[in-house]
Amino acid sequence: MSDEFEQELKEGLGRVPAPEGFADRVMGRVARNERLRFRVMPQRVSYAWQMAIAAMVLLAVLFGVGETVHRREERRRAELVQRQFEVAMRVTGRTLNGVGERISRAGMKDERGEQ
Amino acid sequence: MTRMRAATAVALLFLAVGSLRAMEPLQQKDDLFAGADKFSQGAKSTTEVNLDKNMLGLMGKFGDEGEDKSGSELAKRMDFVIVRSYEYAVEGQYNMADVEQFRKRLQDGGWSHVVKERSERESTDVCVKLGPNGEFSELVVISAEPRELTFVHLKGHMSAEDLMRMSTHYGVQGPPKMKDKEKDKEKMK
Repeated sequence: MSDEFEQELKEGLGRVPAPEGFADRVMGRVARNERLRFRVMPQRVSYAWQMAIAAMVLLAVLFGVGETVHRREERRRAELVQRQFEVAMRVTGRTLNGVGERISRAGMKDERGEQ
Repeated sequence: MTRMRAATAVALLFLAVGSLRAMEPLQQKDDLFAGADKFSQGAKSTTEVNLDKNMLGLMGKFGDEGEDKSGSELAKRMDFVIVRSYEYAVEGQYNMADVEQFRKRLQDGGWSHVVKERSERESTDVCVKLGPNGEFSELVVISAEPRELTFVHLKGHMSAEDLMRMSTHYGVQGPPKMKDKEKDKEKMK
């Protein structure tokens, strides 16, 4: 009884040679799966990152250029406004002074007439 | 492809916003001196200044004025500054009746005539509107000389002192001093 059981156990646990080409097929499948994992997934992620970084850089550059242009334009306009304001005030001051002078001249004429 | 379109759209949006910000503001509309540009015909030199509140607000923003900020301080208190000045090489280049049309516009609208001077060859009108604190809220000057015609319209908060200071600040001689007046008197005698 025990001999029979021992014999069955030996047969069951004994080494059985793998079928022809089994090892090659397994290794081939492993290699293919690895290639797929490393080719598809990382590329998708890196493409999104690339686009995001490119978009951020583009926005930063555009914003920077826009701000520089705007600031330069504003400075140019401020200088122009300052010059125009000076001209306006000079003309106003000159005109008001002229009025004052004419009034004082007229006053002097009146004084002379009274004398 | 869609992403590229989105990126292009964002770029165009930025450019559009940038160009809108850089656009020149519209000039201050002034009904009082509307049509005064006809006096530029035959003028040797023309000076036209039209600054609205936004433009005046730019003054002093970049600190180019030096230590004396009285100019930009006054500018900040102004709503607008409009000046038209025409100089002619010879007399008789403009019609006094045309100037009279502009003077008539000052008869309405609550203007106080501070100076109304008429002579054979010259005439001057200085009109003001006063604010609640007794400051000038508006000042108009129409000065007609044989070879020079000047229209000034200032709106804002300004005192007579501001105007005097402005004259000094921008290199205009102040009113004649007593000594000068006495010299003038002697000359007249």
